[in-house]
Amino acid sequence: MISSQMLKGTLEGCILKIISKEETYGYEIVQKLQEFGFHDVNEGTIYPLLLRLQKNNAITATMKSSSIGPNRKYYRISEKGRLDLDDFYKGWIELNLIVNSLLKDK
Amino acid sequence: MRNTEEKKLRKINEQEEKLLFRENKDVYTDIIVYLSGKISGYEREEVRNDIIHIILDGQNRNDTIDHIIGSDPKTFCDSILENYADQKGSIMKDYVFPWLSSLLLLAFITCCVKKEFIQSVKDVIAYKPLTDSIPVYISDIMVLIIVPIFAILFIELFIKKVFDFNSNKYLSPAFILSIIGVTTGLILIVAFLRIPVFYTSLYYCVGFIFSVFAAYLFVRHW
Repeated sequence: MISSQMLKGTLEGCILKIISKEETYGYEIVQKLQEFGFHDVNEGTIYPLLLRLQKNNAITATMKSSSIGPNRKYYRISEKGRLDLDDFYKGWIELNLIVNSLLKDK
Repeated sequence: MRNTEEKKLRKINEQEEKLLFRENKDVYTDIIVYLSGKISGYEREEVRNDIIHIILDGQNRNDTIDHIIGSDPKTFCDSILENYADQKGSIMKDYVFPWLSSLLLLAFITCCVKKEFIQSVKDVIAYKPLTDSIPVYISDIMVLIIVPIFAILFIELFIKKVFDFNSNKYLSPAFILSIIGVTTGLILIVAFLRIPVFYTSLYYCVGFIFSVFAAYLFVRHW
């Protein structure tokens, strides 16, 4: 099980990656995260992160009507968001290498 | 402009809230009460709108609020509030604004219930000269001090700690005793301390109300 502290730093980057593929909404993001193995994530987990991404101008949000239920907020990545995603990816690769070599050191 | 948008969004939220299922409404209300203590204005209504839609979408999938938001609404709220930690003037918002709001309402009511105030208004309409005939009692001054302080204490003790109470929070002994205590105290003050401290005219009363209103508007747009 992944601790919430560990999750905190990485979930934002993962959400950005999902949004970078196509315009999407909250529950769909949760579903995709769960498919990849983030089983304990729900909309309550990601909503504050989506707020943060919006405030940092990494994503934009548009309310759209839905044929099967209430209106939904759809998120789309911005140019700044793509740069942030790049930084996250580079940071993750570097961290991954460092932690792996540390853990392998007997 | 922002105020108009806020009012519009608040009306939309009030309508859409009615679509929330009963079993989800209690937790939703606690969330909004807790957040209202820290976020104000248009941003509060935006967050409120988002949360309503998250819950409505979940209801559409037959999910319970536990499943949608998680079993710890306080943590959910605190995570949201981290995004608003840089909101300036939290002392103004948390303390000065509620104090001014209640002071404004009380000042207006205190003046309007005085027969001398009403007589002075009639005198102005009839072009009669005004005199310092409106008494300001000890009880008036005490009510104007005590009630706004109580409004702030109420926010600190009940609204900010809404998740610390159990589901019967509005029946908790602390809540009930405080309401009874303050109400009894105020009744006794008004009944027994109607001793005039000084007399004033309509102009000073209206001037006082307008000053408090100006301060209220200033803090509201801070």
